[in-house]
Amino acid sequence: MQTVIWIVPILPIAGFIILTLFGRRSAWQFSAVVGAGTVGVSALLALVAGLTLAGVPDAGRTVISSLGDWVVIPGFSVDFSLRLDVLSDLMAMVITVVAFLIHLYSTAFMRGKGDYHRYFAYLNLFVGSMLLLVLGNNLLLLFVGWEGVGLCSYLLIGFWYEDPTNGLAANKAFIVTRIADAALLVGLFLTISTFGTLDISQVLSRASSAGSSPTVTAIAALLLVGAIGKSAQLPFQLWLPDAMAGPTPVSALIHAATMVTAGVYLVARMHLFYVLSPGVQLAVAIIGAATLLYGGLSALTQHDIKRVLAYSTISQIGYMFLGLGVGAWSAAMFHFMNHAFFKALLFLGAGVVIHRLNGEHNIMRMGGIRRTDRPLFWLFLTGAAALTGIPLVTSGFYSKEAILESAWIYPVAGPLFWAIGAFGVFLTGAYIFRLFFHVFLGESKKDGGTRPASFIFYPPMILLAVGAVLAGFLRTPRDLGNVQLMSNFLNPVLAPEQFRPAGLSTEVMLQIVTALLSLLAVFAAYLSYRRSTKSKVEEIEPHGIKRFLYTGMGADWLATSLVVRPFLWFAGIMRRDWVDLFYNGVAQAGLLVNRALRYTQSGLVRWYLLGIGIGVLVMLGMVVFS
Amino acid sequence: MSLIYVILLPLAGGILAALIAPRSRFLAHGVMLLSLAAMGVVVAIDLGTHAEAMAAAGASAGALHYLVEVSATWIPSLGISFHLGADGLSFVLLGLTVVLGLIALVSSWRSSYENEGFYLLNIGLVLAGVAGVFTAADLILFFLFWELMIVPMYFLISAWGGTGRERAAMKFFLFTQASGLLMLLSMIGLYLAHGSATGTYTFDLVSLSGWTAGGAAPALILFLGFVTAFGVKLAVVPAHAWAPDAYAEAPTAGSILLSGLLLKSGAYGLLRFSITLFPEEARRIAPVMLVLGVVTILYGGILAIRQNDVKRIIAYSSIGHMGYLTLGVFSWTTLGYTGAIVMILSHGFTTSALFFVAGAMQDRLSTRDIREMGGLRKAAPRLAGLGTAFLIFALALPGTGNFLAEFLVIAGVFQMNVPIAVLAVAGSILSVVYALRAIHLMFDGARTDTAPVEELRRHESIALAALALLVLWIGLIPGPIIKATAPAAASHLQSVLPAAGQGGGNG
Repeated sequence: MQTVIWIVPILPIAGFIILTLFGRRSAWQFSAVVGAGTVGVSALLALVAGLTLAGVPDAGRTVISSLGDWVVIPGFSVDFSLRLDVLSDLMAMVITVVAFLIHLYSTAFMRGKGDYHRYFAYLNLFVGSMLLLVLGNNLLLLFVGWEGVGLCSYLLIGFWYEDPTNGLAANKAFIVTRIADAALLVGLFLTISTFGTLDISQVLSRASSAGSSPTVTAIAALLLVGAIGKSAQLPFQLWLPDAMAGPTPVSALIHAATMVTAGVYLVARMHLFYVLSPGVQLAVAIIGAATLLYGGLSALTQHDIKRVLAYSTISQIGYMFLGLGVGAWSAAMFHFMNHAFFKALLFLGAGVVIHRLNGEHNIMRMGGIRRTDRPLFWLFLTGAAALTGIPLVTSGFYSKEAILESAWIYPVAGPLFWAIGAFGVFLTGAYIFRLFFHVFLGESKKDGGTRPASFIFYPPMILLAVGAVLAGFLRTPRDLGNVQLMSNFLNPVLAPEQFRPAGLSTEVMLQIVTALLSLLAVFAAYLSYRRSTKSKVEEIEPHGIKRFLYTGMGADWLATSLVVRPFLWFAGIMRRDWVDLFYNGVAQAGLLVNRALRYTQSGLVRWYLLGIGIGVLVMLGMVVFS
Repeated sequence: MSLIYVILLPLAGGILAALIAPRSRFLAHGVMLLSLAAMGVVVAIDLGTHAEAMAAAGASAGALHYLVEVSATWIPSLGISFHLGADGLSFVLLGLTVVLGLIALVSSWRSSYENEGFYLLNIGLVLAGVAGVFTAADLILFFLFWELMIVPMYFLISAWGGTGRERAAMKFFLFTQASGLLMLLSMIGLYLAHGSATGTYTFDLVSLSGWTAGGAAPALILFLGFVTAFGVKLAVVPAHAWAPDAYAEAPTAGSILLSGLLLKSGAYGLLRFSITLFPEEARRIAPVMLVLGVVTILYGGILAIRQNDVKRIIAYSSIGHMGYLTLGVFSWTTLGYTGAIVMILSHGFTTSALFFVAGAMQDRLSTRDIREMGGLRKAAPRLAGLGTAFLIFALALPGTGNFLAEFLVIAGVFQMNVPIAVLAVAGSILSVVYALRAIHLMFDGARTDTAPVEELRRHESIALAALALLVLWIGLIPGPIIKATAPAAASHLQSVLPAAGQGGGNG
């Protein structure tokens, strides 16, 4: 009965195989039905599993299902087993539901753009790999999913292969994340040599009985490097903005809602290691705080609608890492879920905008969508509000509050972390509403109007919008109803927050401050928007500080000059295979000696006679003078 | 007797094909195909009948356990016998020989060569030599088969190769001959040392394997003679220099046999001969070999990054992977050893598929320069799709045999030497860089040349799809292979580490 769990990841993978084999020769409807259908069934199963888990007592909320051995060697073995518990099922539910909605949206969005079956094949493989990642009961299976989603991300970023820049963006994403994954792999090897197994529950139980040690700290740090690579946190954020070269629904699914949060899942899954190594956990918080500032600031001056959202994703995952770093495990997962809904919604909305404007990405050349597409206006507004965390009515408010509340009471520089997070709220509101006003208000700047949108675009966005609002009420602060459904659900895996809560009045004060900041941000964005429309000077190339932020604080330039160029220079020097040149040199030298010796065999008798004469003289001399 | 058939079948197939080829190209290929299929059947039957014995042998590890043996007197006065023996490891490698023989045959199906009879004869001879190497249990016999692989390969490169074929063939021949000669000298030295010490002069592997040469300096020199020959064959840096030229200039079938089988004969020799005959020396020299292994990984990886000849990219990639193999063998852990065996198989399948694809592209585009390709995903989606798949496999995507091999090897090395293991992991980043660069330049973009590119033919697609399945099969269901080769692994490790027994770490 438990093997049913396997159907969840295997169905999308089966979809991938079917589409790869038969997709090319079939009608587009076939690809659409197989692609969306398999994911839809997986989503239903994951939801059923979630309801079942919620209904059983804490102790029974972990189901492990093994299909048999994978590798059995004396001293080391792994099996094919999945682990369904509240954490993996929360991930699985969010992944499959959001993926199903995005598949549905894609059936219309990808029409007429070529390679329809290939798109759905990759997208299905992605969902299957992502489910393996979260459901895998050992770190090796997790790693299979981990690299599998990386592969699909690569394939889908470079999906429109005729433009070579897309392929380069895809390569960048793969290589940058793979560098981080190398650290993760070393972490796995260290885990094997320390604990003798990769089975997650055994590793965790052995680690907890062994207690803190430098090895545990090293493992925590190595896994963290892998996590921040996948989740595009500093300094590995480089690849995500360029990853926007992929189709927009892909950005919604892979580069916003699911894959980029794999790092958050990994840290949450292995959170015991971070509890045992407070130094590394502090690093998690610092990376998260720094990244949320970095993403928020960089998003402020972007022109490309998708790049704004990409930097926003970097920033929001920064919040999740901040949450993990301050020990607010379930709050981080809560924010992951809410973010999946509202960011997918925003990306799908951006997709409709781009579709309507015939591929226009620059928000400075947009405007007036409110009039042409009223439903989209409201949907996007919901998403933007949730992202900003507009108080009381959006999910973003509740999950950010949960993280910030824990940040405040964190023993090391808690108020500072809180202040950074609160400032981040202001930044978030400023950049997303800047985008929102430019796109939806004012007059259309396009000649020839807009392209009609398919009606299939809207139901997925509506459902996501519902999620973006309602999901927030799964967990509310003590002064606002004190709903703890989310943390209670996650309780068996993720322990409640570690630290003594601040006083109720302090909490209320902090909430009021962030609430005001979010509203202030919207106001500021509106003022700036008014000013920019009045000045009528279209800013083509930003300069000064704006340019600095526009380029993601020069991160690409830095990486290119510090790492990429020297490396390619070195590879260029090495290309000639110096060892081989050495052998060729030996061969050449042999030829030279051969040529020199050939002269001695000239066949001229007088030269030979001369040689004999000199020899005789030398020998005579030796006899005489010795 | 089955082992004799395994060697005779490709030989007979080659000779027969050479005779038929002038009359019917189709029939000649058919005969060759049939002989390989028959060889496959023999190997499969042997594997099937001895499956239980293999499982039982694992428990009683010690010296060599041949499951099948053929023994006949040959030159008794010199202690040379016709002794063939095969255990699970040999059978697995014979299976690889059959598969890659078939693939090599299919790769040249489409393009007709001059003097095709001689071409097929050479392929048959190489395969017979390889099969002999994997089963020989007498040193002199082993040396004969070793030469039997090299000479026809020289002809394959020099007669049907690319523009630089003569130079490449000569380089290949010089490197392998010179090192082969060292091996022969070492064999004779060992023969004399063993004879003078024990009174029995013999070249028999089984009789010699129990005897250690005493850990003195001569033993180390004899051991180095073997290791040099196998290291050259394996193309371990700095003895790799023949490989890029030979791979690049050989015809497709030649590249497949070279990288898939001849290279692996070096690995097999290392396992079966160097380690069995000189366990003490093997253990002493392990640190050096680990360093050479990781240097090979990094050197091959770095060099592959800026190559423009597609076959040279694959060649350097292949060299780098042999570094992992070396690491696995000399890690003295069950993990590393198993990883090395998995690597032999999955690298054989992956690299031959890559050479297959490279050959198919060279046939169609008349160039091997990846800068002149591009846009193939549009022009020939199946070719591009399979090419992409195998390049991704080559960068060790988890789920493939290549990943499993690298993972086990590094996990083994990690228990012995952490810095080397970490460098090996770093080396795996290099393979991502060159594989993605190749994919990008070959398949992305739009074609400037409007002439249509012929898509893969059906038999080509089937061959490549079969290889892809094999790579995934090894990666996901490695159980049968691990079981079949476990006795060999246990006996080799036990000979080196008598005290530790399994050496699989502490837990």
